Amino acid sequence: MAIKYLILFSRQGKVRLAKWFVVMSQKEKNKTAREVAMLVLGRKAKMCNFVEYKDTKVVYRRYASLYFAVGVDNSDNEFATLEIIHRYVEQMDKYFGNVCELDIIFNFHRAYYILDELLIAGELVEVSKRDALRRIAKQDQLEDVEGEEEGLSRFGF
Amino acid sequence: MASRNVVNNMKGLVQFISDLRNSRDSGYEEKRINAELANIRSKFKDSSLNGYQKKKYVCKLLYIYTLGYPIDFGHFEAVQLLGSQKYSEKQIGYLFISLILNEKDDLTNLVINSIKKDLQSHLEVYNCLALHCVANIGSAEMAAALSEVVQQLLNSHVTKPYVRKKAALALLRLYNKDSAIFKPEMTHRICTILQDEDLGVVTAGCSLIATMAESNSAAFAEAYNPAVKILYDLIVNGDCPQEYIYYNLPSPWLSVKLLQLLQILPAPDDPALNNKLSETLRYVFSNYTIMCSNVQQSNAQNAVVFEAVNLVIHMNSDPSLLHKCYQTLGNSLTAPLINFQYVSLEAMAYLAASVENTYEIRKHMPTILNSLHNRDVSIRRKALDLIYLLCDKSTVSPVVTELFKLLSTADLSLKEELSVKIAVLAEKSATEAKWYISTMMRLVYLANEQAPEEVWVRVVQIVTNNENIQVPAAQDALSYLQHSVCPSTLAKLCACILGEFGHLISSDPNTSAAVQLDAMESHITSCPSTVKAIFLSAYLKFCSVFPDLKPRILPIFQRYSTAANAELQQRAYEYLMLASNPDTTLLDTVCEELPLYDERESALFNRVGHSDDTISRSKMIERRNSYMPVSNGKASNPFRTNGVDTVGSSMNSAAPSSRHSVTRTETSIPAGSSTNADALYDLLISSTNDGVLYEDNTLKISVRSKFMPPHGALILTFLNKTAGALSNFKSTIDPYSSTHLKTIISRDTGGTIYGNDTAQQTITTEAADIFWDSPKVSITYSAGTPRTHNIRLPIVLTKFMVPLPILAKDFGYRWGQLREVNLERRSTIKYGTGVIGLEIEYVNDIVKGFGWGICNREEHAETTEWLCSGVLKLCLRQDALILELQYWLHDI
Repeated sequence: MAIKYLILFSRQGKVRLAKWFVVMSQKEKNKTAREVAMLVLGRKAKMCNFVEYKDTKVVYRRYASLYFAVGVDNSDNEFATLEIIHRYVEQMDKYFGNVCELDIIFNFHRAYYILDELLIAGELVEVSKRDALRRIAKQDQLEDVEGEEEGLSRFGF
Repeated sequence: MASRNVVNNMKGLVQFISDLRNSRDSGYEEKRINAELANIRSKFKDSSLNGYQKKKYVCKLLYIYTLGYPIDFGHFEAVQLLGSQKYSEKQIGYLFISLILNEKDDLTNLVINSIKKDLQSHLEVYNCLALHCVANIGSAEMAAALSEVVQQLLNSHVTKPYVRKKAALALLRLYNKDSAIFKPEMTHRICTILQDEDLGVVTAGCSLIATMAESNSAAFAEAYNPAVKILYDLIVNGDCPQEYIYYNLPSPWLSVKLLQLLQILPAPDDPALNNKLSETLRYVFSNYTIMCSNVQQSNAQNAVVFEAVNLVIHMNSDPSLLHKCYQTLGNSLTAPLINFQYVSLEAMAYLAASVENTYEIRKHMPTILNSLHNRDVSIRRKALDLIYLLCDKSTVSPVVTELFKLLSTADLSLKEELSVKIAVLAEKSATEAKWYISTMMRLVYLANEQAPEEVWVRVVQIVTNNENIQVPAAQDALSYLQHSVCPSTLAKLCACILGEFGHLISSDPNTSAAVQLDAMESHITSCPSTVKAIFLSAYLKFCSVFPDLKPRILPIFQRYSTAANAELQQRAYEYLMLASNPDTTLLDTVCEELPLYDERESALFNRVGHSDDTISRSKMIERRNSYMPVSNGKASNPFRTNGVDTVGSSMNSAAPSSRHSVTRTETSIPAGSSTNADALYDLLISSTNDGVLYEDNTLKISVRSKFMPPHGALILTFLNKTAGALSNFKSTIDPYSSTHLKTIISRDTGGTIYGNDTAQQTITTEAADIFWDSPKVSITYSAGTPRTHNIRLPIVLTKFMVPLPILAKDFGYRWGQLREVNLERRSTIKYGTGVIGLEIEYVNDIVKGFGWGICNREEHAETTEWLCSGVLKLCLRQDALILELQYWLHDI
């Protein structure tokens, strides 16, 4: 079930987040992201969530103004991939509290961290609902503590 | 976790992002970004920057990068952040590294040390950051430097589950980059991951085992048993902790992973285990196919169902389970949700390539054909793949009609694929030559430049090689050229055919040479110069066959000899000179008929092979190759089949000289011209094992051969016909491309053959698998001047046939069996016009010469019929073949 890449883009085709699990040059990445976005945006609402792009299959889902597109092998399980996307959205929803595109723009690094808890090496790493968020919460605590220290040091304490 | 208001506490970053979002046009955005980049660059020069500031600026760079701008600095600062003692700084450092660092980057070596330190840290959060990085951007260098540490984390008992599963996936990435990190003694340890209590660890372990077993399945055989057990407990017993339940289903991803793993591992011969698996699969088919209204649950259910279908097809052993598959796929095909149709078509294609009998799938043919016109291109593509696999002689006509409908409306991306598929189907399954030719013409007409070159080139090849379709081809070509609109690719094809075969229809006043010329002339002015060139060649051929037309044709050459296009100009001028020369010898030689094409190569089939690669599973291709002669590069042309083909060509070319010479092969032959050598060769492959292989004024080579399939031995005898010595005599087997035939010279000649003396050489050969080209021996010697001869050895596939007559009454039954699985080929071979028929006994000898055992022979007034059978014995395979040969004494 190896995922090759995951791209989040807006209705205007602006890339919001892109994660690559295969080695590609920056040029290829930009080209792929652009072409996949165009391909998906060109499809109508009632069409299926799978579309072939070069030698991969793109499984995509739309949430409000944001599209999530995942590139997988041709023989990969489409439905399972669809639900990986949904799981990612659920995690972000829980974390941000009713997630919207702006959350992902302003906290793009956190969106990457959440993804890291869900998918690494193109494989699903955590399938339990609670576990991944526990990890993130812990990370945030660390950050908060460090943030307070920083604030204090800035005021000369 | 309760939802919280997430605040980004890097104020500068927030401000920067807001600024960019408020920019009205991309010009402003670019300006703002360039200013920011300059600012960050100058800040980085300041060595007193603290961790927080570095983090903030690196984060800004990351945001700029996400917008698609190239980032070429900041790497050094990111590496510094990696070494930070603060988690949030380290985290940003890692984020930068894993997003921007390319694995080929020189900096990887720099970061490896930091990663190693974090992997060995006692803080699990650090371990995790490092593992994410290894898993996402791991390279071969990292594999060498880090795989041991990663394995320690994976195997250690003190490692927490959430670190362990990440270690498993990091190891997977490193293995993908360098499989040498795998050691056989690791397998047992890795397989025990499946026994872990934590389902997350089991899921990651599944991925790891599946990846490693892909190239080494036997080593991981022990994982089969626990995999079935977990699957059973999960699905049938519902044994799953609450937090792993996803929309009422026990961890669907783990189920899918396990089902995939079972397709990779070799199945043990354990009835109890197999029953357990069958029970699980049955449970899936009856409980997971219940419709539910929740989208997520429905998707998750079907992820499991379709993976179960894949597993059943892969096992291909239990008919009742296969039946369930048919049912499931049939239901999904007509489901209102389009995602189901897509997946169902895909699974059916896998099924069609895997099972012998496609009846159950064909039942849905109307729906599948209908899907060809779905407005979603994804569905159309899948339907096309499936139809291509299902099509055979009985359905080719309606299928091609349907594909034509699609061709006229298809979008560009699909047109090329579609035209190649139509061309291959038409050729593979054609029952009538005329139908084939009109279909192909229509295809070239409709697809025009969207059809790849190979399509029209292939038509020319087939027409050239098959006399019986040359007349209809010429007629069709003419009538297309008579239309006012003729697309350029079609014009090329038509010009080519008329140039070559136009004379065959010229006796009819409606299609006379002058009429053909008119038709061509109406297009030549308007077509591109590549097409013009072909028109000119056709004209030249007309000059040779119809000298009366020269007055009309020469001015055309004249006109184009001043064309702007240099290639065209040169061609026209050369043709002009050739055609206006009163001595027509050169012209006639140039315009000789096209030689037959080598049957075995069709670029078209290669193309299909490639597109197959991209649409299907690797397993599927293996299956498909094993019984569809399409993708292995061998043309299964309906007009001549390989077995009969060889008979045919030998009848055509060898017979004129050999009708009387079967018994006198040793008669002296005048200086060996190539055609003569061909005739000798044909005789050697069809009728006899001993004879002359080559002869000229200097050298005569005779051969004696003996075949004990799959082995053979040949003794070549070289006779020096001159009085002087032939020195430096050397012979080598040409480096032979086919790996299926091993031919070696086992005893060589001495080096010099003295006047009127002989020398001998032994060659042995072994056929591993089907091969098509005969090996060549290259002979060089010096008789005053150096000379080289390249001689084909009389080693052909039929030499490895052993006659094995079966009872005549069984013949029909056997034939029917083979026809059912589509292994029947028919072809007609014309013996040439104006030649008196061959003697029946001669044909009989040829049939026997090709290694057939004659089961029955019946002579009627007009025809004689042979029923023959034999076995092709090769090292790697043995195939039983049967042949029905009808021979008409007179032209029919």
